[in-house]
Amino acid sequence: MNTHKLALPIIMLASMLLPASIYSQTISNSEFIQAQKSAEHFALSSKLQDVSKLKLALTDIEKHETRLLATERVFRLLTAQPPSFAHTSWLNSQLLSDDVLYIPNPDHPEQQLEVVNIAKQAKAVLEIWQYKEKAKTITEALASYRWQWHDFIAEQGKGKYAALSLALNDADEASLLWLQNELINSASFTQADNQLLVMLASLHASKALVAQVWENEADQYSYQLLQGIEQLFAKEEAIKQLNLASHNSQLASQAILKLTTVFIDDDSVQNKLLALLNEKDTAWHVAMAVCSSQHEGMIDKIMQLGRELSAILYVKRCMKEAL
Amino acid sequence: MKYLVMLLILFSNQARNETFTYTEINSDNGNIPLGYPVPIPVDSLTPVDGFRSYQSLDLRHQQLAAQTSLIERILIGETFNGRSIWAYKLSDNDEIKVSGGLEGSALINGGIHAREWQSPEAVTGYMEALFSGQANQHIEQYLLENLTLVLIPVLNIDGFLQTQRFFNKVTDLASYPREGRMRRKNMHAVDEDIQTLADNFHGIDLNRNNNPYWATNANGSSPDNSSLIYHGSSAASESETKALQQAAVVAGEDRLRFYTDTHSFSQIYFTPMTGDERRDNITFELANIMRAANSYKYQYGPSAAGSGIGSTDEYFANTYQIPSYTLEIEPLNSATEYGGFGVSHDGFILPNSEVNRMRAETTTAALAGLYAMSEPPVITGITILHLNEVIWQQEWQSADNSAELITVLEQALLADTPYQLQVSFNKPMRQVADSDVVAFSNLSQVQGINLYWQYLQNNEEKEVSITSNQGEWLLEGFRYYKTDSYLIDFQLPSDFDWQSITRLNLKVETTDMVGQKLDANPRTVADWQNGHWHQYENALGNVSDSGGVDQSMRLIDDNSALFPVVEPPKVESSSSGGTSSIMIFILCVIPLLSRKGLFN
Repeated sequence: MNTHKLALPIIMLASMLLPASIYSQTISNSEFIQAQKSAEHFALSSKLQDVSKLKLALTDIEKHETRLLATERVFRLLTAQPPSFAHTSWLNSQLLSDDVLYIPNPDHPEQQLEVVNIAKQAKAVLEIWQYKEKAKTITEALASYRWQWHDFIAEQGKGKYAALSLALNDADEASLLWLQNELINSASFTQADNQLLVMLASLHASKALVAQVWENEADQYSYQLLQGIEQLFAKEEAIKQLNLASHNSQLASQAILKLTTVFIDDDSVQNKLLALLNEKDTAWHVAMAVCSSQHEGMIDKIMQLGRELSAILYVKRCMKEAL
Repeated sequence: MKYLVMLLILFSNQARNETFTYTEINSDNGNIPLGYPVPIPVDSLTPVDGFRSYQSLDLRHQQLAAQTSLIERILIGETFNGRSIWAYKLSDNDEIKVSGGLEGSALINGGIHAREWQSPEAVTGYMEALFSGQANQHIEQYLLENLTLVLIPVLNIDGFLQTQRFFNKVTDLASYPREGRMRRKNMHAVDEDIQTLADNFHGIDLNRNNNPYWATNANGSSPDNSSLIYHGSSAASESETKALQQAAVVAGEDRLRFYTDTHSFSQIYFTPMTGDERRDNITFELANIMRAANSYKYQYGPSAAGSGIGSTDEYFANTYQIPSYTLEIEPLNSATEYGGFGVSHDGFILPNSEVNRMRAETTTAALAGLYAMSEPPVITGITILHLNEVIWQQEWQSADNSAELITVLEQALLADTPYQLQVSFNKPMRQVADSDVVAFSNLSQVQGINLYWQYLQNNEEKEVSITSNQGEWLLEGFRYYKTDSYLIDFQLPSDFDWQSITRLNLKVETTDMVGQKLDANPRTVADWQNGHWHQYENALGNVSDSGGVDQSMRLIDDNSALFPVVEPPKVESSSSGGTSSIMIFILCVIPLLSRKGLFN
């Protein structure tokens, strides 16, 4: 403990001096809310096309915090329109801005919570413009059915997904189907990652694309796809897909919960659950899902099971408690 | 004028009525693009790349409890809306440590603030790690057998459900969202519809509802029920707060020695000082251990004793005089750290892709902290082998709070003869990764042990180092847990003569996995009492909270005192403690005066 004798007071000093050094950029919660409301009152929408007028209007705002919030609002509005060279130059110049607005962290008032950061928000707008520009190129390519999945899959960076997503939001069904088939029939299909597969499948249900997601190693996209599977497919196909997903060990418990909460009235689902209840890796997932459902049909079937696996005994016990 | 007032009211209501939708990149009117996929609660029992729904987290906790007797589900109260609040007691069935003596207890709370989704996932991660490691003969099994841990995965269930119900919707300011995904408080007298404006800001901040500093700080909490930090009508007015206090009873109030309230974000261990210097120092050291677990990426934020905001860490620090933290999980500032656009409050929305890593990192840190507070390291016995045959065996056998050195087997040692020495301790002493002993940050090294024979021969004190050879922390053939024993070859020098030696003892210099030195006097069993360690002696035999070098293992005993100078027990740190307190006072006052302009 001796070596740390002075460390504690030094850290306390540092933790107290740090907020003091940025105190001038911090406003109270109520001042912040007031500034936010004031910022909404300035008529800036009409000046969006003219950067000089925009700059002047913002400069005229007297209070620093209101000016920052108004600037942030302008940035938000600008994302909706194609930028001119002047817009891009202005936003690029804002990347160097050190304008940051803090409010006290509610949990620990001596600490600051960043609510506006002009440089970060300028960067976000520039990124969104880049995505939209790229999306335009993709849309043009799709209009003339010129598309190479191999090139897309080989391309690095997350911007390609954002751009494709924006482009596909406006694509017609025929283009979507064509794109899906191009991928499914291409040599690159098995190299397509879940992000791409889920994006395409979410816009137009495709058994082949979804089945490939269950084949791949699970990631955030597979979990999110599985979570909404009953919205994507009609009952029979959704059950089929859930059965497939239940064979992926990372997705098994989610598939089982979904089968139980949404489709347990279906006989085939009850039989599938009984089969999974007898398997070592899934028995406890089924046990918990079925106990939670309290479904009478399942109760009867499980009560008749002869095996004495601990998961089965647990279900019988919880069923009895519920009765 | 009347119409103007009506117009103003209408405009004001319209401004407050705005609902925003979080999106990944879509920036159309009313959308807030995050720059990464908006996390949707997933119904999964097993961990996912993302966040699980409350229903599936609750089922998961039940599932783990159903599969082992080491996890017990205990009802500790109910929420404002009548939902059951569950605590989970993780421990073996006895209250005794493997090496003897009573187990300590620890309490970790999660999900007190609704929008801080990192928290329930982290606390569930602790439970999952202990469950899966329950028979791994290492840290996890050690903790289950030597500590009583109580976890509350979600305290503010009503609020948490509200944020999951509106996982991508917020009202009413884009830069300062409050209801929907960004609800913080409980649901006291709040309906679940975010379009009904009157009650959107209501609810009680459960982390302002606690003694001893309830409603004492106008900046840190508020009497306004619309405030984000509304402290409620009285201390512990909320049923959730009472449930948290009940969890301490479940843990065993007299055995409690660790508390953490798990929040997000800002990547820091906040902790209140209480003015008890020993407790405050231990709290600092323990935070360092947990920070070391993740290469010190988490910061440390102590607050001065004598004031507070009504938070739960203040309640536990001051009520029980134990190390008590508010852990704010990552990110440090915002989701730009993960490539997000950096919109206001996005630190509360950890990207799905970061959740598994966050869960693993917070688990490593929490287990390190619990390991440190379970008990200080102490030598429990030695075994000497010659040609694989045990020729000497000594053990400290403990009963209640004292121990006795028992020699089980004894045979004279000879010079120039190859032996093996096995030294055993009360806990796993090293980190293990992929079946290898590894360093734990900068707190313990792969070897990190010095062993010496000390002997009095013909009235001459001699010391022979053993660790010029390299031994190993045992991953097989250990006593109870992997790395609780160290094995090394040695030979005694040519002039060593058993017959002419009047005292022979082993000197052991090492630390446990997190850098805590040995309890130098195994005869008195260390325990936690009144805000500090009790009977955790240093190398001089003095009272300490940091231990020292062990020389207690005597093969030939001349009955001389274990510690050369018998001094009245004194606190190791007391000599300069006054200086430290004055420093703290001065350093706290300078910035306050500075802010008030007194130095300008």
